[in-house]
Amino acid sequence: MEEAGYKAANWVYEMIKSGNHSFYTVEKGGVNYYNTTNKSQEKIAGMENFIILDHIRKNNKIWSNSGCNLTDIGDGILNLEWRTKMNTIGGEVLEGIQKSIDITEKNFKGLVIANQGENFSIGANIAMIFMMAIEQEYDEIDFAVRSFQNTTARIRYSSVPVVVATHGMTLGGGCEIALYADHVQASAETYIGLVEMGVGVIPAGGGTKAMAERASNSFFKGDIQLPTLKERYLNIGMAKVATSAQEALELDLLIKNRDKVTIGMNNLITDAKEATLNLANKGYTQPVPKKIKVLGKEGLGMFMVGAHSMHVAGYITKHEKLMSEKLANVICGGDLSTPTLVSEQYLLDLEREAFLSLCGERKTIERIEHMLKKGKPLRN
Amino acid sequence: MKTAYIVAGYRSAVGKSGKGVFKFTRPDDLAAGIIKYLVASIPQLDKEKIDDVICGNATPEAEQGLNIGRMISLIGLDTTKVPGMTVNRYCSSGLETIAIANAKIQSGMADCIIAGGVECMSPIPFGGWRIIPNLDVAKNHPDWYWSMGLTAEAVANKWSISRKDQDKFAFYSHQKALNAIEKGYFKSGIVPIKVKEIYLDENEKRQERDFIVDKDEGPRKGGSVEELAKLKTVFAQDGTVTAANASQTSDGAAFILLMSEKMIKALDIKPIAKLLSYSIAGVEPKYMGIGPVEAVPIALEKAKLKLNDIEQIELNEAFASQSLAVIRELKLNPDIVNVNGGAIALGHPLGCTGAKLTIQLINEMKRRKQKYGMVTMCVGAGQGAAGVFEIL
Repeated sequence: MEEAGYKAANWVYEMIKSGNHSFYTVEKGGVNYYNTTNKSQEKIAGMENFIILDHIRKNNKIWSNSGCNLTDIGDGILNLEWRTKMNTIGGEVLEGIQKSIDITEKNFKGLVIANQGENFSIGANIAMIFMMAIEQEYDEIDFAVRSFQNTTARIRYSSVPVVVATHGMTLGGGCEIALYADHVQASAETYIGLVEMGVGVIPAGGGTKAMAERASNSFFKGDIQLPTLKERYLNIGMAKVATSAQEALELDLLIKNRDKVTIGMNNLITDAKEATLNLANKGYTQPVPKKIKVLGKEGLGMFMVGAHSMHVAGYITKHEKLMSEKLANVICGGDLSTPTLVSEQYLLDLEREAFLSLCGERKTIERIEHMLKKGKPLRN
Repeated sequence: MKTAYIVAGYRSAVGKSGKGVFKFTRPDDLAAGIIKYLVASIPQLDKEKIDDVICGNATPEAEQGLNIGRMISLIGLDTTKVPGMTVNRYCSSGLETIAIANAKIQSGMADCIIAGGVECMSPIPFGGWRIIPNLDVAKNHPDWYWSMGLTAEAVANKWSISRKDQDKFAFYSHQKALNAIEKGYFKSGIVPIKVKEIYLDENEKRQERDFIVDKDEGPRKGGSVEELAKLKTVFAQDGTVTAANASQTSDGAAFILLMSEKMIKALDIKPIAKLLSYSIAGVEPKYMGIGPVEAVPIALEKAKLKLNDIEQIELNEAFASQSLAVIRELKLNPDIVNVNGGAIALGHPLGCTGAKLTIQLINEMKRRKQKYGMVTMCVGAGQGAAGVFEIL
C-alpha cells in the first residue's frame, strides 16, 4: 500500500509492531484473526469445530502416497483424502484406501474418507481403462476391476468403522466407494450416481451388486419385488444422478435412517468424524456377509423386453440395448430358474465379466474416448 | 341348434382411470351395481334361474382377482345359487363372454346367462402388478410382449397412417361423443351409479359424500386438430402416437342378459337382438391393431352376410392409427363407424369394452331402426375379434 502511496490504518502498524505479521493465522488446525480491540490473535467465532485439511495435512500426516494423504483428525479418527485430477480413482487411490484401513485397524478407532476439493470424485480413471481396452489388455482390466471390487469389499469388511463424506460430484467409482461405507455423511449438495453407462460399461466396482443388494434388502414378505428391483436397475440403466443428498435418499443411493445430511461443507468432515466416533464407541463390529436375493429369469425377461422395446421405440441405441441386457443379467443374477440367494462374490464375478465384455466393444471404446476428449457422454 | 337372444343390456358411465369419478369404486361393486339393475329391469325373471354370470376382465388380479365373476354374482344378485366365472381375452373379453353365453344357450347347456365385463384401471396398472415375461420368448420374440403403444406405432408405420390423420380421427371421436351425450343417445343404456366417498376434511374429521355418476367422463370440449398436433409422442422417439390419439385408460362395467327361446316365451319377454356370429383371429403380435382385418371377414361369412349388409360398426378405437388402418384395409364406410365416438373420447375399460360397445351398438341401431351391426376390436398379443348382431 505504501508503495502505491497509501498509508495503512494505524492499528495495522500496531499489529505488526506487536509481532503479528498476518491478519489471520493457523494454530492447531484452527484459524485465528487479529482482534483490533484486544490486540491479539483470537479464534474466529463459529469456526472452532471446522476441520480444514489444508491446515492439518502437514503436521498430522500419518501416511501418504502419490495421490493420497492420511491425516489424523483427532480422537482416534483418521481422514483419507486423495488429490488426483478431478479426484479420479486409480491404483494409487485404491492402494490408499486399503492401506488406510490397515493402519486404522492397528492403531485407531475409525476412518473418514473425505476431501475438500471441488468434488468428492468424478469416478474411476477411465483414461487407464481406455488405454488397456485399446491395447486389448483384458487381463490388466480384469486385475484393475478386481482391485476396485476388493477395495469396496475392504471398506465394508474391516474391523473399524469407515465413514464416507460426499460432496459435489460423487459419480461412478466415487459413488461405489460411498455405497460400501458403514455410514455416509453427505453434504446437501451431493450429486451422486452410477453413471458408468455413459462411458459404455456397467458399474463393476461393486456398484451393480450394491443395487441388487439394496433391492434384496428392501424385499419384504409378500412383496412383488420386481418394481423394487426395477427402480434400482433404472438408477444404473438411466445413469441417474441425484441432484441433492435428499434425492439420493429417495433413489436408495444413500440409505434412509442410516446416512445423514450436512448442510454446507464447513461441518462435513466434523460431522463425519462424529458419526465415525459414534459407531466406534458403540462397539463397532465387522459386518457378517449376507446372501443377496436375486430374481433370475423372473426379472431378466422383463428387463430384456424393456430394453428391446426402448430400442425399437428409438429411445436407446443398439449399444445401449446391449449394455442394458448385460446390466440386467448381472442385477438378476443371470438366468436362474427361480429367485435365489447368492453370495456377493457370485455377483461381483458377473459384474466383472460384463464389464470386460463391454470393454471389448468398439462403441464402448468410442464412448470412453469421447468422454476423455469432450467431457460429456456420447450416445452411439 | 337352439336360438339365443339378447333381452337387455346396461353399462356404467365410463370414468377416467386414476383421477376419475370411479377412482375409489371397486370393480366388483361397480359390476354388481350393473347386474342388479339389469336383473331388476326384467321383473318377471326369478334371479335364481340365471345359470351363470360370465365376466370379462383383462387384468384379473388384486381387486379384480379371486374370480371376480363369482364375486359379482354374489354381491349383485344377493343369492348363492348363481355361479360366476371370469374370462380374459384382453380387450375383447366383454364380447367373448357374450359369445360364450350365446354358445352355451345354443347348445342347450343354459337358458339364461349374464355376460359382460368390468375393468377398473384406477387401482391396477396396465398389464398388472407383476409382469414376468418368459425369458426365452423375451430373447427370441420380444415383440410378443410389446406395449400396445409400440404396436400402434408399428401399424402406423406399416400402413402409412400419418400423424395428421390420426389427430383428425381423434378430434372427431370427441366431437361425435359430445354430440351423442348432448342429445342423450347413451342415456337409456347407462345405469346411474351412486358413489360414496369417505374422506377426512381439513380438520381430519371423517366425512361422507355421495354422488351419482351417469355421464361418460372422457370426451373433451373445445380443442382442435392443430392443438392435438402439438402434443408429444409417448411411445416412440420419432413416432406419431400421442396420449390424445390413443384410447383413454378407464373404469367401467357393462353386462347383457341372454336367454333361450324357451325362457323368453315362458316369461313373455321381447328380445332386442341376436348375436349372429363371432370370430377371433390371430395376427402378428407387433401388428396387434390390425386384428379386425382378419376377424371381420370370418364373422361376416359365418353370419352369411356381406360387408354392405352391415349398417353400423363399433370399431374399438384402441388407437387412431390402428382404427384408420382397419378402416382402410377393410374399406369400411367411415360414416357408419363409431357414429357416437369411440374409445379415444369415451374411454376403454379393457375387459368391459366388448359388452359396452355391444350395448351402444344395439341402442343406436334401435334408434336408427337398423338391422345388422358389428362390434370389432383389436386384441393384445396379436388378435382380432368381431361379432355380428341382428337387431330384432
